Amino acid sequence: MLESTVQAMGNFAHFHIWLWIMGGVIWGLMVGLIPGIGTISGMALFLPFVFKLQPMEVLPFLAALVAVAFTAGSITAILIGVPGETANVATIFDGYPMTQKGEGARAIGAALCSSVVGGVLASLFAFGMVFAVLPMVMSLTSQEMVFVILIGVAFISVLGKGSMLKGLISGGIGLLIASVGLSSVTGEPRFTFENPFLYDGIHLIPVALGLFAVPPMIELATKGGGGTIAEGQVVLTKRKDVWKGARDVFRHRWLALRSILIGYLFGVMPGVGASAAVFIAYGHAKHVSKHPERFGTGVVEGVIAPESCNNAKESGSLLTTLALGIPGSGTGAMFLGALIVLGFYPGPTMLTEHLDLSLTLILIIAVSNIIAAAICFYLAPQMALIAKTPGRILVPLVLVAIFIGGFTYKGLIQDVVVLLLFSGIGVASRRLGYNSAGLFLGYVLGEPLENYYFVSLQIGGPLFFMRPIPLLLIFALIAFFVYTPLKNVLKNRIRKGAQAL
Amino acid sequence: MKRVLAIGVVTACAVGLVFGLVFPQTAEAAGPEEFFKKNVVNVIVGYAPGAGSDYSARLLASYWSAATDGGAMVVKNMPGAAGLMATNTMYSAKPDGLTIALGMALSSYAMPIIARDPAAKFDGKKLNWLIGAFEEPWTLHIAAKKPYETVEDLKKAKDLKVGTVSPSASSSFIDAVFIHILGLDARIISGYKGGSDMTLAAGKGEIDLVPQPASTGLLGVQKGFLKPPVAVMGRKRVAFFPNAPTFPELVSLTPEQQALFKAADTASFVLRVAAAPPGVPTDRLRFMQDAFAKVVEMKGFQEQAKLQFPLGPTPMLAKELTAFMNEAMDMDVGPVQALIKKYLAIK
Amino acid sequence: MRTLRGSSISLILIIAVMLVVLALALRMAYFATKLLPMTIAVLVLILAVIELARGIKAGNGSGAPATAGKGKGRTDPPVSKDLLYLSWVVGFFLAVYVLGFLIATPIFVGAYMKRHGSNWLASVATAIIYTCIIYVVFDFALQANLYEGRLPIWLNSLSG
Repeated sequence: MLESTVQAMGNFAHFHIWLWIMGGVIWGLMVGLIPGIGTISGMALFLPFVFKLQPMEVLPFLAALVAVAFTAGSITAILIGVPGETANVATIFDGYPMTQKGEGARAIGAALCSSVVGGVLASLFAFGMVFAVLPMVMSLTSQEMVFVILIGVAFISVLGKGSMLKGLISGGIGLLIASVGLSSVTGEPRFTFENPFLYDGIHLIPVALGLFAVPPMIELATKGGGGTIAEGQVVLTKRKDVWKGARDVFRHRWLALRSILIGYLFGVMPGVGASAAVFIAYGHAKHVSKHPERFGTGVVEGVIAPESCNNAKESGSLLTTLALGIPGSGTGAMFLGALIVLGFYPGPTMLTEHLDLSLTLILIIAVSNIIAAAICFYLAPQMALIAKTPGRILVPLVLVAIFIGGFTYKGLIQDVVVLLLFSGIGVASRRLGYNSAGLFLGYVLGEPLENYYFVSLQIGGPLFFMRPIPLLLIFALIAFFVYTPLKNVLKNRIRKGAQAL
Repeated sequence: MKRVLAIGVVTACAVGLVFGLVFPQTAEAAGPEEFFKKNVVNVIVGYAPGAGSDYSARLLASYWSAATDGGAMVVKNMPGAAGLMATNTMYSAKPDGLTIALGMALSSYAMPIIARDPAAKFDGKKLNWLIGAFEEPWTLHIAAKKPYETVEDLKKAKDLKVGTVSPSASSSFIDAVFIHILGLDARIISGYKGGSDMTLAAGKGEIDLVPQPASTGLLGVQKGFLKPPVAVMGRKRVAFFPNAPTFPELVSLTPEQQALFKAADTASFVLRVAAAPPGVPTDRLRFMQDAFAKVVEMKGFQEQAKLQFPLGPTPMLAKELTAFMNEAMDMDVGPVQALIKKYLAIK
Repeated sequence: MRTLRGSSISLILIIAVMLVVLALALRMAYFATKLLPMTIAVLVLILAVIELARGIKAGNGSGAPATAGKGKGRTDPPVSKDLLYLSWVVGFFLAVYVLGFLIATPIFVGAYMKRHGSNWLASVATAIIYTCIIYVVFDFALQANLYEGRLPIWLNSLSG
C-alpha cells in the first residue's frame, strides 16, 4: 500500500498529467455550466479518442471531467434555477431563492467550498478506507437494500413545504411514474400503450429539466420583460460575498460532514439511485434543522448539504467502479467502458496489481475539485451579475438551452414532449402546493425499490427482512418518523416543567 | 430606412445560412466506392455509450475509413427498448446506404418479430444484413461463495437459485433449459438489472448460479465472484475456459431435449449485428458487406476487439448471417417459454 | 354552486387518473407487475380523497398556500400569466417539431424579446448570434445532430 501510494503521488510529477487534468477540468466545467450538455454526453464525445490515446492521458481527463461537472452545474442551479446536472437539482431549492434575495455570490461561495470539501474529503476517505468499505458493500444483499431505499423514500415526507398530504401524493405519483415501461421483474409492459419509447420508462433528464428548470423561467417571465431574478433586491457581487459563503461551510461543518458521508455511502453502493443521495442530504439537513420552515426560502444550509453530497458521491462511485467493476452511475458505466478499452479490468485486481492507478485516479478527483473551485471562485462575482439580467433576454435563451438539453440526452424528440409535460406539472405543482422534489425522489427510487423488493421476496420469502441489518434499518426508519414528534413532546414537557418551577 | 435595410440584409443572410445548414446535400457519385468516400455513414446503436454494442460500433467505425479508402462512419446512440427504437428508426430511414443500425441479433431484431411485439415497426425479413460480430456463447457459473463444484453437486442440491434479468431475457432461456434437462431442484430469480448486477449478487452469495455471455463470465471469475463455468451453453468450447464442457458434451440429449436446447441456443445467441433498411441499392449493399468483411480481418481491429471480447471478432459474414437471422425469426420458442414460466419464482 | 378551486380540481384529476391506473393495472398478467401500481394508486387515491374532503370542508382550497416561504410580500401572479408563458413554451416546442431547432430558435428568441420590449436590432441580433452559438457548440463541435423538424425532413425526402 505504501509503495503504491508513493507511486500514485509520483505520477503527478509528470507534466502531461496536469495538462490532461486541466483539459478535463475545463471540459467538465463547460459541460456542467451549459444546461444542454450532461456529463455522460461530455464523456461520450471523448470516447472515440479513447482508442487512440494512452491510459495516463484518457483516465486523468475523464476523472477530472466527472469530478468537476457537478461543481459547475451548481452555478447554473443557483443563478438561474436550472440544474447543470440532475445531481444539482436539490441545490435549486435554496440556491435560487438566495439569488432572488441578491445573495447569489454567497450561495456560489457556499456551493464551491462544499464541493471542494466534499470531493477532497471523500477522496481521502476512499484512499484510506478502500479495503474496509468494500466488505461493507458486499454484505448488503437485496434484502438489506430494500430498507436502505425505503429510508430514502421516507425523506419524501420531509422535502416539501406546505401540506404533508400533498407531499405524500406527489411522492406517490413519482413512484407511479417510475412504474411506466417494461417491468424489470417480469418484463411485462406497464402503461406503455405499445410505444417503444416508453419501454425503458420515462427518462430522467427531461423529467428533471421539466420539473425544476422550466418553472423558474416561467416565474421570471411573469415578472415582465424588464423583471430580473433579484427583482427589488440589492445584488451582492463582491468577492467578499463569495468568501462569506465559503465560511458558511465551516460554520456548518457537521452538516457538511454528514452530507459528505451520505453522498459517499450512496456512491459506494451500486444500484441505489445515486441521484437520490442529494435529496436525502437536503432532506436530512431540513429534518435536523432548528428552523425547517426556512428551507426553500434561501438558507445556506440548503446549498451546503446537497453540494457536499454530490461531489462525495462521485468518489464513492469511482471506488465501486474500480474495485468491483460495477458502475454506481451512468458516468461510472462510461468510465468502466474506457478502462476496459485501455486494457484494465476493474475488479479486485485494480486494488492489487493496479493499486497505484486506482489511488492516482482518486487523488485526481481531489485535485480537480480544488482546481475547478479556484477557477469558479475567481469568476463568481462576475457570474452573480446574471441576477441583474432582464428576463426578456434570459428567459428565451435559457428555455432554448433547456429544450436542447432535453433533446440531446438521447436524441429523441419524444423526450422534449416529456419535458413539456413535466414543465406543466412543475408549474402546477408550485402553484397548487404539491412537492416536485418529492415527486422526483419517488420517481428515482421507485424502480430500485420494486426490484429489490421482488428479488428479496423470491429469495427469502415474505419474512425476508428477518436479518440483523434489515431489522436495524427498520428501527432506523421508525426512529426517523418518531424523531420529530418525540422531540416536540419532550420540548413541551421541558417547557412546562420550567414554567411550573 | 438604413436600419431597416441592415436588418433585412442580416435576416436574409441568416435565413440563407440556416437553410443551408438544415438542408444538407449528400454527394451523389458514380459508383459505391466514390459514394461512400464522399458521404458519412451513420450507425445508430440501440444501446448507451460504454455498452458492448456501443464499443462494437465504435471499433467498426474506427476501421471503416481504412476499409473504404477514406470514407467516414459516425456512431449515434439511440438507446431504448433493447435496441428496438434504433431498429425502427433505421428501417424508416432513407434507403441510400448512409443509415444503418447496430444491435443485438435477438433482442434488437429477431425477438420483437418472434414475440409479435406491436412496437416493432419493421419487417425483419426485409432487412439487409451487413455483418455479425463478437459472437459468444453463454456460460453457466456457480457463485464463488457456494459449496458446489460440479453438475453432480448441483443435482444433489436443494432449492438452487438461478439469476436472470427478466422472464423474456436471453438468460432465462439458458436457465430454463439447464434446469429442466438436468432435473435440478431450482428456481429462476428474476429482476436483476443486468449481467454485472447478477455477478455482484452471486459475489454476495444471494444466488447460486449465474448465466453470462462468456466474456462477462470471465470478468466475474477474475473478480473472484464466480467460479469457472460448469457448462458452456453452446456447441463449441471456449478457449479461455478449456475445462468447461459444452452442454451437449455434458448430457446425452434426447431428440426432444435437442430441440429445446437448439431453441434456447438460438433465442439467446449473443451476436452484434449491423443491418441496413430495405431498398438500399444492391451495389452499395455489397460494398458495405465487403468493407465490413475487410474490417474484421484487419490485425489492428482483431487486437483491439480482444480487449473487450476475449474471443475476438468471431465474425459472421452476410450470407451466413442472413440464413441465421431468417432461421431465428422463424423459430418457435413456445416450449422454452413454458419452461421459463414453470421454473420462475415470481408468479 | 360553489366554484372549485384549482387545488380541488387537481385533486379530482388525480383521483380520476388513479382510477384509470387501477383499471389498467388489474388487466396485467403477473401479480408482480401490478402490485406496485395498484398499491400506490390506492394509497394516492385515499390521500387525495382525504385532502379533497378537507379542502371542501375548509371551503378555501387545501393545504398551505403555494407562496409559503417565498419571501416577504411575494404573491403569485394570476394563473393567466403562467398559462400565457406556458403557451410560449408550447409554441416553441411546436416550432421545433415542425421547423427544427435551428429555425425555431431565432424565431422564438427574436419574437420573445421583441414582444417584451427589446428593439428590433437587439432582438434580431441576439436571435442570430445565439443560433450561431447553438449550431457551433451542439451541431458542429458536439455532433449532437439537433432535431431537423418535420418540414425540412419532408422537403429533404422530396429532393431525393
